[in-house]
Amino acid sequence: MAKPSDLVHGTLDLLILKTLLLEPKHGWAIAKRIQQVSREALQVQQGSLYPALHRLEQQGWIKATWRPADTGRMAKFYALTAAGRKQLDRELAAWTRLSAAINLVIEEA
Amino acid sequence: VRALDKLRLRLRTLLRRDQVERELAEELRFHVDQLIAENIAAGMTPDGARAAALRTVGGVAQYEEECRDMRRLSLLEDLWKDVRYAARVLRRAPAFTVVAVLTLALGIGATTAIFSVVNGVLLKPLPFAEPERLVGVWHQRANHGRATYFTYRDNQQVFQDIGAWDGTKLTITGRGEPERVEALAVSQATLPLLGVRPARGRLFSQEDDRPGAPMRVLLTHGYWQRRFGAAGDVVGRSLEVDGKPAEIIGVLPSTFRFLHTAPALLRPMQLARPPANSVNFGFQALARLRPGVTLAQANADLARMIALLPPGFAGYRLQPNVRPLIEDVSRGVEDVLWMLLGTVGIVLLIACANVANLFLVRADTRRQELAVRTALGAGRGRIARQLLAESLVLGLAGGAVGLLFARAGVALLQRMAPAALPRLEDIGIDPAVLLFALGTSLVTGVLFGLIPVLRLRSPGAAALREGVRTASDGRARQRTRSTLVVAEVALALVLLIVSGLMIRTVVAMRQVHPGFVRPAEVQTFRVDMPAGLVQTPPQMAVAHQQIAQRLRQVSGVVSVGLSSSITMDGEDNTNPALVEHLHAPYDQPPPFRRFKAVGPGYFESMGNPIVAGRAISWADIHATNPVVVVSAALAREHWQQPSRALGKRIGRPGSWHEIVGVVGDERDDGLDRPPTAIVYWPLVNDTYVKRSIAYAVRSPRVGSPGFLSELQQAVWSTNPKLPLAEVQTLAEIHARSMAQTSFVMVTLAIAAAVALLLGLVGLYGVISYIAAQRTREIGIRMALGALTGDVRRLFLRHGLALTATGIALGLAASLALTRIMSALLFGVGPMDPATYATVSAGLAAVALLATWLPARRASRVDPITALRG
Repeated sequence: MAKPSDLVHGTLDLLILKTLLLEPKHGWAIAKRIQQVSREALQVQQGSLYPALHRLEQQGWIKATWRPADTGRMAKFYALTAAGRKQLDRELAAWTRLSAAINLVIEEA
Repeated sequence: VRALDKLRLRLRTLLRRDQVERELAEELRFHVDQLIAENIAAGMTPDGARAAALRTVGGVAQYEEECRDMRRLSLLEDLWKDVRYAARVLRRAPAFTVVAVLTLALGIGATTAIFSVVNGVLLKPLPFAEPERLVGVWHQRANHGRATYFTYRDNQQVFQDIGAWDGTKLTITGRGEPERVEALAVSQATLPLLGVRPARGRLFSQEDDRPGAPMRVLLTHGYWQRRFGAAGDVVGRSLEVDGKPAEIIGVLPSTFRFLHTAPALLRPMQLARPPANSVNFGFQALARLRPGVTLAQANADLARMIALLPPGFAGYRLQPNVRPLIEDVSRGVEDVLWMLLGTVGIVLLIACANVANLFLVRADTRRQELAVRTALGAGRGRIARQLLAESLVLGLAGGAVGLLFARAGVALLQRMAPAALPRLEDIGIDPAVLLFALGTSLVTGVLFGLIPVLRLRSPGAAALREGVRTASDGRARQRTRSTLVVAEVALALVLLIVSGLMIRTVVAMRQVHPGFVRPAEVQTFRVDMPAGLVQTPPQMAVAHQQIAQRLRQVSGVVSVGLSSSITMDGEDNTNPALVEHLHAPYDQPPPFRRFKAVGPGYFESMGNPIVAGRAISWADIHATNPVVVVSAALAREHWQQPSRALGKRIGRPGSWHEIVGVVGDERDDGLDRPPTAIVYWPLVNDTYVKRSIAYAVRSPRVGSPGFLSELQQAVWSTNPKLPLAEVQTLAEIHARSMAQTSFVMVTLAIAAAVALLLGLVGLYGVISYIAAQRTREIGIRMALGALTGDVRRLFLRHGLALTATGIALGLAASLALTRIMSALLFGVGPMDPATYATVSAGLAAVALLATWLPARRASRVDPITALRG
């Protein structure tokens, strides 16, 4: 199995927030979603995902509730808060600036 | 809102730890199970799927820890952990813990007890609506009379309303035994402006307060319960007050308190407007400031109105004195209470020093433990926090036990001090006091905890090996310990000197001649003859002569005397008394004198000698001879020698009375005040007639069973409607006059004793500890030929150096501090050399003992054992 590329440092928060923009999801679903959308290019490790989720919750950007998953089993669902939406905008803007800058450097070189 | 949400989450993490942990585990397990399910779906066997899943996720415990880290409210949580650890540590050292907690409890308990008094008497607002706007309306050196009251009421611009009041006594007859009760006379405005509402019936109306209106009274809750069994239909009933019927119009609520008074009932003052240019004083006034008006504005308004008074007031040079109403209660005790609080604060400091010392000793014995923790990665800050947590836990435990001490202390104070303290019913453990105790405990904990922490050095790896000490470190700690002991000795000396001065004050007061002798042999009581019972003053004189004769016939009675007031019974009046050819009326403030109306036998019964001339006789009284007797203080003031007063005339123009006798001084204003200048009028006269007369009966039988009721029967045999009031022996009055001073003395003495004890324990502890540490050294010295005496001297010298330094510092502090208390002293200066010398010598002596005991133990060390150990 090819080693999936490491996430660019600091982008995990952005990915989580973006993934939650559509609907609340539990941790497993978030990881799966990121994996699918990136066509398996991005693999989120459990060891990074859950600490990040707890940190975002402490920041007040996401909010957790326990409810049944599709299987009927209780799971912890995370949803974006209003503050989280604003944070997502900020992170998106920052990312756009950063990637544009990187592209400039790469094309120049 | 977001900040609140965050806080809620953090508190949840902190307080609902178990649930948060469970959720975390469950969340991770859900993830793993999903992974397993996916692997099975991909065609693996259940066991293989499980193994693969666990392989990919790695250490679950590690993730959990990382998640916890994300949630951590680290400081608070660590503190909680520290506190629990501290509690465990302290439980393992029960002797240390018990001693430390008790020492702190003593300090915190004493401080809290005195604070509860300060709180109840000085800090708690008066029990009226918006008390901060209530003021006492006074002049600098005078209260009010009708002229000032009506002038201010009619012309003032700063008060919502102004009310007059006066404490008084009323005779109640017609319901069982006649009785004389405390009462309060108020003008109509007084109760409404305080915000008082009646529990039943109504308050006084304008009509009730009109001069000459039929008498109506309000009952206080206590009297309503005591005399009327809390009857529901009491309003509208009639009561015989001072011999005349009075209608009960209402009952006050149980919460009603009025300054320092304890009235049974209230009556309207019924003040009439004064005749033009009459000058008199004699009652109090209070007012409610209009919103936004300051005390300075109120005083300015009063100054403006003083100019409006009749010209007769000009000579008095009145100055305005509008002040917070609470000062009417707290005056006289305020300084005393703050001083006592300062005193117990010193005791608390000594307790802190002692516990800090204990902590230092313990820190030494715990070097190994601390070294292990350091080796395991705890930083200096982490260990400091741990030590601080221990001292906080100790402080709080000390506070909890101290609160129990404080409760007992408050009960003791209340029993000890009824005569010395106002607002006794407001003194107790309330939320403010609890908060104070909590604050004190925390501050205390930090205070004594900080000292060992500041002395904390990272113990080197050497400390891990048992029994190794680094000498330099030990010496620094030794210095700290010695400093603490010096401070303890100094503080204890300050308290000892303060209480020594107070003891000398009490002794000096006991030696003052108060104007009577052998007070335990004199029974006093009051007989009141209101106008409703006995019509005219001459008839009253006849009735009193009859009573005096009957009393004389009671077996064992040596003498019977009558006076409108007994020495120091609190009857206080001051009236202008001019001397013929010496004072012209109204051109200057006339001299103010205490007046008493007396019958024969008063000076004889009290044991106050006639210095010159003669006493007043029944013949003088019945003939209304214009004569008076004056006290030696008054005679000396005008004529230097008492005998030269005889034949001079005193009184006022048109009513001069010849001085026929001079008697010894009475300390009517208290033992610690100069003798009062008194004019003694015959029982019936044209200037000062009182309808309530006190009897002084001297007999060796005073206090024996049955004697009092024989006296009562003798009075009632002349008229069964006469109540006996204020039944007390002269000794009781004497004791009450010393109540406040005795109270301060006893409290200070207790504080000083505790301080001394703690200081000595501290000294003893330090010398013992040094001796124990140097056992090996002593062994070597002795093996090399040092004698027992040499070793003993070594430690004695150390202890004495500490004591001497402490005493020197304590003396310097006392010289600076005792000046504050000079107002409390009598017959002794705040720098009395005898007290300073005696107390210092005494302290040095007991300190020597506290040093000698451990020094002797050290010198008995067996060199062989010491060197082997």
